Amino acid sequence: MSDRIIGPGDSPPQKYRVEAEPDPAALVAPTMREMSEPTDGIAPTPVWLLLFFFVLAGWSGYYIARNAGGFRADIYNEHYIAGAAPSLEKPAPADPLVLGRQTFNVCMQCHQDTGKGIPGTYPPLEGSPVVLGDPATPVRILLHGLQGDITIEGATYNGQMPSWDRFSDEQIAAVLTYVRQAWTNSAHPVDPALVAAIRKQTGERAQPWTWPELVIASKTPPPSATEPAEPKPAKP
Amino acid sequence: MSAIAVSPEAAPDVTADYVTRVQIDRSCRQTVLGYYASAVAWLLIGSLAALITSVKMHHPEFLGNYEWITFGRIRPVHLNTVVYGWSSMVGIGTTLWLEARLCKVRLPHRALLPATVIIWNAGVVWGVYEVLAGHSTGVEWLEFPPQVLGIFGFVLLVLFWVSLKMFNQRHVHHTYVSQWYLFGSVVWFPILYSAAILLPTTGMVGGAAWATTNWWYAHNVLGLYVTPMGLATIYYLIPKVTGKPIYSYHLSLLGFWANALFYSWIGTHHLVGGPLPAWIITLGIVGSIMMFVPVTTVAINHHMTMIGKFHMLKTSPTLRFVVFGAVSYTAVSYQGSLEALRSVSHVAHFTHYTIAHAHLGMYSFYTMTMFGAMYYIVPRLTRNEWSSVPLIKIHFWTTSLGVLAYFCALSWAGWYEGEMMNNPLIPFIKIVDYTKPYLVARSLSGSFMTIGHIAFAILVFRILRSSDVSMIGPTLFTSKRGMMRWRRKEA
Repeated sequence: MSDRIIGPGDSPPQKYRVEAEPDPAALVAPTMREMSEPTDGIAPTPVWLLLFFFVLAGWSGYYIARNAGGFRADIYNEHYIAGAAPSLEKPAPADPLVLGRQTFNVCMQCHQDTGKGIPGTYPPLEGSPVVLGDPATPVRILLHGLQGDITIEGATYNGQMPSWDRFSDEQIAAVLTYVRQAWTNSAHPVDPALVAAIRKQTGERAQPWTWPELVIASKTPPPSATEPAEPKPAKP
Repeated sequence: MSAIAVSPEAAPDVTADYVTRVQIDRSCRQTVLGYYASAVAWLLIGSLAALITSVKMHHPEFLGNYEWITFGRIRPVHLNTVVYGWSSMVGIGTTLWLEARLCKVRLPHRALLPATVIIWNAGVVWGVYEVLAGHSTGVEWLEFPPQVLGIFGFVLLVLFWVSLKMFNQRHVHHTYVSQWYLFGSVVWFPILYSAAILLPTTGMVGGAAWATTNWWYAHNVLGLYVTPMGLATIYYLIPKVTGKPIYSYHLSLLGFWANALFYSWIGTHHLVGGPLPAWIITLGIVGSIMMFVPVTTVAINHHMTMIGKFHMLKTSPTLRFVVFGAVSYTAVSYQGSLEALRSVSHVAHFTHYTIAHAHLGMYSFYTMTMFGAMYYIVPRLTRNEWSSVPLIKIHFWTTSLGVLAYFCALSWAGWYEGEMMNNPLIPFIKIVDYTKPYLVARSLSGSFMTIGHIAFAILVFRILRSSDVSMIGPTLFTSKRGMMRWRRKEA
């Protein structure tokens, strides 16, 4: 290829194989010892390369046709097919155990991955009568938090439980379902409708619960969780 | 160094253009050396910020008592010093020199241009101060206060004006491919930069559209500003050092225009899964895949030019750095095209994998290419030689091996991090624990690269400071300083 050179207007085509011995003076100054400015060869574009580009362009057309959502500003799902009615069906409900495990990542920082808590500070979740008993109590704790001492099976814990009311009903139900069935625990799943009902009932509350208050609250009749707007399957 | 020297195949052009070249180099001297010296200083500062950031990733308590260098501040300082300090300034310096050489005209406005060095530096210093003081805008790649636009914008307009002027007064008939790329970056970057700042600050875009604008900008910085400067340098220096013409004019054309056509689409591939209309993201992905066209073209063009000259990698520091950059360009671009696919992005995005990819581009391609450019250009401007072969060797091996180790460690960690994050049953803390050894490996390889930067800074400091007339001839890898083995071999 090296003998095919475009001759730019200002420098005539030249051969690059020069027999002459270089001038020693050329070695002195960096500017002096360099080659002339670069030029272009005229090798043609390989045919296989052009074919490759046509294949890519074809794929691109196919990909746009399949994934562009009809170029509509209101279509966010690339699988939308033009002409089909926009999908109104709700996404399938998340498996509460998977969602719960995911949500448990925040609980784990205090109650530990093992669910055994930290002695004196964070009570255990494994085997705890509060967790395994009436689900209304842990739901109340999650919604508003808990402060002050709590005694579980003879041991006292004084950590501060924050409120998690920013979690959705489904998420709170899922994480409690997970905790009630993780490790050696085995209790019924928690219904998101129960969380919604308690959230409504205690919505006015601004302070975290204390354990004595929770004991009183647990004696009041549980909120009417029997009439959920739409029953959510919360089976494990 | 001055890579070139005399190779057995080609004789230096000692008569024809010599006087012109001396005049051009003299006209560039103050401005380009000013940009280069500042760039190297920012490279050192950027490396320091990078190391602090990197150590904080695995030891969060490291220097934790100093509010000014908390992670959220020092990390953007690293990004902005290496982008607007090192990369921009070394790029502008190289651009000016290459344009003057390619147009065969002296650099115009020789009073104004050295002042732009000071002005640009002032912009970076101000921006870094604001970020360290906690006034970052929080917009990635644009953490500096929006008012910096006034400073950088002014310099960019001057550059545009100077480039236009040189091009209009050019003494060459044929426009070489490097010239197209340089002109592209000089025109495109001011548009990108001002649009990315003005659209949100004037309230024309907000919310998801702001994010789109921002990724459009952040990716186009790479493809329409940094890449053209890097490719122009490679296109210039490979033929210049080897003495061979570039393989194919047709491939150069195809590569340039395909890059110009497709690159500006692709920023939205960072928003896969984000709240944007599907077609915007789909077009971003298609643009990314179509980048196979310019990248393959450029790769063939560079490779075919290098064929028969690979032995020169043993001697020429310029060529070795530049070819390392050229190979990395192909690698990073192919990787980037594939990363844009929805299925790959689903795993790789928002992990260390993306960080590894970014460094393959900005460091392994662009920075290594610019090191090569400086090895070639600085001796011509100072009329001195690089003082030490061992320092150049240290520079090459620490930076090249460092960035490879960096890339491998973070790519591996990032991919598995992505796979684990997609599995809700794996607690997040376990993923953090998994990546920790790789983050330590990043700090180590980063330290390696920093050692190389220090060696390079010493070389630059010496060549700027001293004029050792006893050094005659280029500094090549194979020669001890002052002993030109390549000539003896020829004799």
